[in-house]
Amino acid sequence: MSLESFIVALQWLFLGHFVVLNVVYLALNLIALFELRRHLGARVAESGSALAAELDLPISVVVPAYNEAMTIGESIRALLQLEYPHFEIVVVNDGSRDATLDTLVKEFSLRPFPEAYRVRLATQPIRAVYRSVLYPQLRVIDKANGGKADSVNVGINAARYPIFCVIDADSVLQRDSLRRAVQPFLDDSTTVATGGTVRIANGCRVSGGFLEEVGLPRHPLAMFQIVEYLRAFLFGRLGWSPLNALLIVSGAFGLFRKEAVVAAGGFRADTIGEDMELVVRMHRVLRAQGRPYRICYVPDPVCWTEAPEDLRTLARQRIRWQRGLIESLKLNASLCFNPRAGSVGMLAFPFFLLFECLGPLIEVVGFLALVAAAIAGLLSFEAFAVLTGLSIVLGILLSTSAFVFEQMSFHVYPRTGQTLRLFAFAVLENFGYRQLNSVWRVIGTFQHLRGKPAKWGEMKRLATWHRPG
Amino acid sequence: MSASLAASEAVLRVAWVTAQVSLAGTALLLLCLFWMHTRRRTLEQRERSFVARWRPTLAAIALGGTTQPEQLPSLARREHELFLREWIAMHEALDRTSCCGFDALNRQLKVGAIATRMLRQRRLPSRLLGTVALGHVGDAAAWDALLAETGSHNLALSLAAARALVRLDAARAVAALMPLIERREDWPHTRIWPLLQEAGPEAVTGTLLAAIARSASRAQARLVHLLPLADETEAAACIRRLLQTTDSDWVVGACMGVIESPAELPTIRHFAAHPRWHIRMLAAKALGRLGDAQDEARLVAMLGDTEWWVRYRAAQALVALPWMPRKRLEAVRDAQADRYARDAMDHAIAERAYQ
Repeated sequence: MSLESFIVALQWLFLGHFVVLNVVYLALNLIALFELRRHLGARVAESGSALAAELDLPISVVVPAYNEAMTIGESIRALLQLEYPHFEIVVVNDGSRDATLDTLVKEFSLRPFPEAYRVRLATQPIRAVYRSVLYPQLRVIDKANGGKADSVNVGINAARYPIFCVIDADSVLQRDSLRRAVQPFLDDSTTVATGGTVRIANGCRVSGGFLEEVGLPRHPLAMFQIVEYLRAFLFGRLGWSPLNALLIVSGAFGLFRKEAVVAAGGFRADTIGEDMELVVRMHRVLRAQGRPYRICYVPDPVCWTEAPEDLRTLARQRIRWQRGLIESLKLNASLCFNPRAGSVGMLAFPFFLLFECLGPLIEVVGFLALVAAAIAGLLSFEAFAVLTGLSIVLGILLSTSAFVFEQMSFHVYPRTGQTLRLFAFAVLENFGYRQLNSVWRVIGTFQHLRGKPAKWGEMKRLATWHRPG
Repeated sequence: MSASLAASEAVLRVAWVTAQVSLAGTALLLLCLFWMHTRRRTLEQRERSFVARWRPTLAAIALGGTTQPEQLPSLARREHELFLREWIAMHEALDRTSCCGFDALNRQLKVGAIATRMLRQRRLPSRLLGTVALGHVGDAAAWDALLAETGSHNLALSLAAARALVRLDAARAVAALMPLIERREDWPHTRIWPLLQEAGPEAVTGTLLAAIARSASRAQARLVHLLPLADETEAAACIRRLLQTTDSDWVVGACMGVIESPAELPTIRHFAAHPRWHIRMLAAKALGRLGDAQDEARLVAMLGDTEWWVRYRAAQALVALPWMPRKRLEAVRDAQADRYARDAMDHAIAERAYQ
């Protein structure tokens, strides 16, 4: 193959990748549009009638906590105020090295409780179970350190109700988040998991563990992530949901049917993307059994989380996400192009493999090769400009479509200035930020291939938006 | 070289056209965004103005006041949806007798006609509003239209129509809806329950019992769960009959869950030794609710069951027996050789302290 042919092939690969990727995204957009209309219609019905008021399913809220002494008290107090008729909170202290347990014992008057703890999922040993004298629906389980997945498995073992909700200890929930997210379980008894929309809390005002006012952050990195989250949640997940091919339920907030999770083996403690891996595994197990099931996505904003505002933390997060993605796909590879796995096997899995997993590699290699070819004079400047311009324009198109969804549904950012700022960042993210993300994901891929042990690392949180209640 | 060049030009042409199309698409979306943003502002303004004019009037009527036709605020056709939303919210907040004050207003504004027009629209939110409103208006002429909506594939719309029918004529509605309750597996129990609860036992009993008698085991079990909404005596008789005749574990399980008559204790005791653990567990729960002194020994024996859930429920049932003092419960616990049985008793005893 001559160098010229190679350059042409590279251009086709680059172009083909972008066109197919964006055609799929646009298809997801269309599906998401119909799904959003259906969802909003149902919301009108719920708000206009008392149908939803009765017989909500009881929920166990599982909160894994590791070194959260500074914020755990306020987080749990906020959870106790959730607007839901019947729920319990199970905090799992994952062998914290700080005063997390002491804080909980003191603030909530915890007493040791002789729990008939049933080991359905194998975990690190339990040290003690406590129950609050002030709030009977609050239990705290102290255990040896084993990571988030291990802690959630302990929570599942201890959960009393058929539906459990996993949240991060530092997540800020909407007061009605449980009611919103439980809806698919009420509407369809075959529902085994639901995820809700996670939004960025940076720039918002939070008081007493609840969101008081939505705002935009000053830091550009956080702004870029808002655009990313809008895109990922509003059509990424909403598009896959009606096809019953949703592969991710965010670890920051997700509801699961306990029996289905236990039957699938619970969260794997040896993976770094345990939330995605569980969802993909549930698809695999349930499809193999031929059991009817649904894994849904609720587009309502239910949970707010802090986005990293420094490059180091962000890079670590993205590398971790990429490694989690690869692990999830690798461990459930039998789904790929498996006709028995339906839309998951034939559409979602191959898409995630080709575009989410390998896409960054194609993007980075393709871009570097084009730059090299342009420098070497093998590619004209016009050709280089057209190809890179295309990738930028397609990125802007997708981000803009996410804004349209946001505007027609929840309009969380109502001010004109906010919309303009977001649009500006949707354009700007294509000049460096997106490419940087691809580089981090390529690093994640290589780290995985080298078998480098995965670590969570320290998440640097500023919580400048946070105000004690 | 020339072939490569041609191929390269083809790539660039495709890329150039795609970029132009994408750019045009982005511009179009931006226009949409701007239009939606502006429209939302206009709608919000219109809503504020509507609420300022109408909410005090509707609130005054809800509190028993009367309003003369000439005193009513203006209502433009484009405000009909807003009006119905506000009107429905007011009706949902009040009980049915308090809503009588709205009759005059409904006549003056022809609310029934507005709701019927909404029901005929294609937009789902409008149809939902029309459906819910027609149930509150109580216009019997809307029966057929609402009945047709119960067959809708849209869950929210079909259930809203079902509820509207119940409000129009509870007995007739339950009779019309029962075949749908049997057939529509997408109608969840949690939605059917409040519907039938609103209809009341008089409307529910006969139709539900007839449906249970004619349905097959799986649907029968589903319907048995609704028996607490029927007349107590007739429901108890139905459960007795089912437990004597059925060979379906589904139905037995459902009956154990809803059984409330101490007269059925011999049957419950019989099922406490059932080969399926799920039935034994439900029997243990039922014994906790209804059991007498002679069930204590049976429940103690169940603490040694092979299934964790049966032991756990037996412990809870023992603790629930009203005549069991803490000391006796502790003695039962200490007498258990099995650690899991002791744990279950420990848990149940501690739990009682919280109640």
